[in-house]
Amino acid sequence: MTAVAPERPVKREHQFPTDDEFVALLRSRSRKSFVAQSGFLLALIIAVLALFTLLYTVINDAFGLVAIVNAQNPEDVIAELGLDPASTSLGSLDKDQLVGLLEGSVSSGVGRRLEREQRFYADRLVFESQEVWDEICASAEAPDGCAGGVRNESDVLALVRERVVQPDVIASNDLVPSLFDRAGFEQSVRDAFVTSPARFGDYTVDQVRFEWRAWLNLDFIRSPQSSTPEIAGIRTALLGSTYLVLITMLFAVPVGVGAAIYLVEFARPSRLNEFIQTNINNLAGVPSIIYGMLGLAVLVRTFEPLTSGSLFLGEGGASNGRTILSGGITLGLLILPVVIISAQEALKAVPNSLRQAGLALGATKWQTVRAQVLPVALPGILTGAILAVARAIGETAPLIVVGAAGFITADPTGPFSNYTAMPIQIFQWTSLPQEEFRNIAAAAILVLLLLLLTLNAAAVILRNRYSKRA
Amino acid sequence: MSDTETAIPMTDETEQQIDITARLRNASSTDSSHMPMEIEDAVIEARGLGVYYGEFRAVRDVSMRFGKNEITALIGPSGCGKSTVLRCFNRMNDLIPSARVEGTVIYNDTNIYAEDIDPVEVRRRVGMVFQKPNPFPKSIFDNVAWGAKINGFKGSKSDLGDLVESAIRQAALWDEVKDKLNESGYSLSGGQQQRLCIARAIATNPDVVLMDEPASALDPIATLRIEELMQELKKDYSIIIVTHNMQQAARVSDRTAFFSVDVNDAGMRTGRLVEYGLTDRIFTAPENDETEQYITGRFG
Amino acid sequence: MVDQRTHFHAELEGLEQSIHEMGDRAHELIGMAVHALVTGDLDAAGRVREGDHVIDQLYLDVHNRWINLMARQQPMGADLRLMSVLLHMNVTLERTGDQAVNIAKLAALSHGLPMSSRIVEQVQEMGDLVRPMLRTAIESFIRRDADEARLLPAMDEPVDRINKSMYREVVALGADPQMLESATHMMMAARALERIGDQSVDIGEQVVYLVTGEFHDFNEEALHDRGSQG
Repeated sequence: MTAVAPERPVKREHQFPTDDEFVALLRSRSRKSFVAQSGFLLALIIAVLALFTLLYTVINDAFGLVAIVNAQNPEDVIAELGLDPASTSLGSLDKDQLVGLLEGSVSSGVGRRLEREQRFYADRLVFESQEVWDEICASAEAPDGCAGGVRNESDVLALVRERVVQPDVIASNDLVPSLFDRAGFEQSVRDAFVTSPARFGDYTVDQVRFEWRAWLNLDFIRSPQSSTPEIAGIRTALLGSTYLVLITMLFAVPVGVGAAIYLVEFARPSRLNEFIQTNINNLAGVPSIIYGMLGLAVLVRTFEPLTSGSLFLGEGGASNGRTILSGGITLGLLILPVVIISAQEALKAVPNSLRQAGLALGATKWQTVRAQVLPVALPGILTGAILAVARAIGETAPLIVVGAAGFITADPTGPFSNYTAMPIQIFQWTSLPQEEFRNIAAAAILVLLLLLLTLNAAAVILRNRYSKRA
Repeated sequence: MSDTETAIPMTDETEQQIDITARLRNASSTDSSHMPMEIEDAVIEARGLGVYYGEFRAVRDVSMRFGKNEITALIGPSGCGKSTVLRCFNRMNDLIPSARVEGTVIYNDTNIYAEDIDPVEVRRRVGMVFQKPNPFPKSIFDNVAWGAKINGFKGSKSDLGDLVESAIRQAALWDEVKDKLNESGYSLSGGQQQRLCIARAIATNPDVVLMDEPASALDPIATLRIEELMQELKKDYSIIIVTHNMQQAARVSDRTAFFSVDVNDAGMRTGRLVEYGLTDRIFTAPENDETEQYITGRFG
Repeated sequence: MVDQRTHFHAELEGLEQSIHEMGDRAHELIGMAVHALVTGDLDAAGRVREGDHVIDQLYLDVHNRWINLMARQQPMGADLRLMSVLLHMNVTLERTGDQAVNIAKLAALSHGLPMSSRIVEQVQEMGDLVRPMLRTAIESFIRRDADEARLLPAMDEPVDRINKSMYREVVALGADPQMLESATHMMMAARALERIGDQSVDIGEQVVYLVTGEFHDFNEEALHDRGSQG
């Protein structure tokens, strides 16, 4: 209690290096610093190189020269119409001309089938007579075309390309060799005709045309799956992935955020809560295939009536539990720990002073959380959720286990449809022997990357906008 | 003033000085201050208040009364439990899971630690301003209006506007923010933010405002503004302020309570109330030696 | 810039007002005491004592308020100088009041004694010289007028001169014991008035310090001036 003057500290000059020693020491310290810095730079370079190699490979496969044999060359088709092939392309023809080309080239059976899928004109029929049409549409199994809806010009153009021109890719080349050694590719195709003509059937070397082709194009995105790589598209898988993501989000975000709010805002520290927390942390590291097995056992098998939809729709449901609902919830379970943890982090990052301020005003805990804490944590919660969902989009293993279809051409129509997803589709394509499937697999990878990029960008934008507002 | 019966008057000044000093001593023992030591009209009373954090006893046996429309300062060395005591008065200690309070706190003839009292009810009547300005990340208007809204404010929209305006006016902030009520509370300077927090606290119409080192994060000028504001606020509210700044306690308060801390053999620190009295008295002639040593900087 | 310490400044102003009042009362008491002494008015002498009682009360009040204000408000700069000056003036003016009481007591003691009219005249003259000095000191304080305060040493010189000449006058009175007693009282009164003059000069020094921030001892300066002239 009485003030005692502290002993005066001694200046410890002799325990420090002399000026000369210090200079030498400093040189060695700087050297170590430089070595460390160089090491980190090297790590960065390796990472960037890996990333570029990935992009290079994918883009290299997705674009390039192809050797094509057309059943009818477009110039010949245009010349038959009496137009100048030099100034006109198929794309510049109007709808009537295109439909005319179809009429002239496809068999009447194929034409009727096309018309039943979807009509060419709203006011008249092209391949079918009105009486038969009415009869078909009156029958119990009326085809889709009866529902109305008309093929537009670009649909018809695609049909003309597919049915009239009928391009057949006999060889494809990667982007980089195409750019730098076009002649080599052309020569190799010609050589192939000489060495193994059996590969090309009836085609002669004169029919071969060399064209640039972007495997990633609008048609690719719009077309359904097909066994012919030239016309196969990603639509089915894209829709499947979209449905999956929707269900994943609807399941994982509310459940995950709710659990996080309880754990951070309401739970008092106890053994049980600590145990739960530890488990959540560990679950985040469980391999995704395990979740697939869980989904298979619980969702696909045990809750089949629920996941197949037969409980709600009766016979209208899917034949088994391998539906989008099962897949979506499985992916939801997979990302749930990540959503919970990221939401917890976001909530914990909200300064405690805000909670105290709210409570000190006489607000209840929930009023404080809802009005003051959640708005601040929301960008963080959403960012975490979006990144988790992005991870779900790329997941393959659990979906294979819970039964995503490898080959399916029908678009999914709802939560109880069978489905495929983009990574499954890519996986399936890459395992096929034809060279062209490798090209469309690359194109599909690009689409997937773009999708992921978009989601990540959304997360960043969301975060920036909210953090600026606060 | 010297004895008039003496034949020859004393012109000796030392003798007069002695005389005056004696009278001074008498005068100061019957302090002519307008404020009596005994508090007739207490707004809050603590009886045998103690706080435990788990097994650790943070504060023991505090009994004191807080005057209505007065500013009471709690001072003392760090760890003396002054903030802990303050947080007993609006049950903010309840937020710490291991905290336990013994004794009673009487507000409005009610023990606020009674079984059937909801802390939420207490906090509406006993507002609080914190050490660091902590406005909500909302507009200035919403910062002030929210407390009233969640407490079931019954008035119309324009009534709410009036309430917000009067609270901000009382907090001496109106002229600075009246044109930007829709801007974020974060756009204000630190001192303005703290006054916004004061406006927010008084907008729920409390009786008591607790202030936990309200100016410690502010620059000297902003600090003086808060202090001036407190002098105005005490006309309508009773204020209890914790401050580690003795000079601030001296400047603003009517009464001062000095807390000290005992350290036991196990190194546990327990705070206790040492002396409580009129601020004039505490800072010029404290009765307790510990207080004297603390305010003269010889301890703590 | 807005005043951030209005409450403190209001209290400080109140304190200064009390000092003004003490100055006014002391000024009045001096006149009253000299009158009582010169005319033998015992009622006036009584009123001087009552008046001093009021000054003493003010002194105690100012002292208490001063120490509380000092403890609580930690004044700085001009406020700090003012506080220092107020404390000094409080003591000085209280003593001025005491000197007035001393003169009043001498009036009672001298009552009925024969007096040398020459000496009485000189005491009267000293009273007439000292009162404007105190007035000047207080006024210069109120107006913060250092130049006016610097006039005070010069005003004090005739007071000192008369005070010194009193001794010769008293010795010259010779052997009349009654005359000698009253003359001694007058000498003591002259001494009291001389002290009041010095106290006014002290206040002047305080005013110069308040205004300029530097303290000058007028007497030493006067000595120095005389030294450099001679």
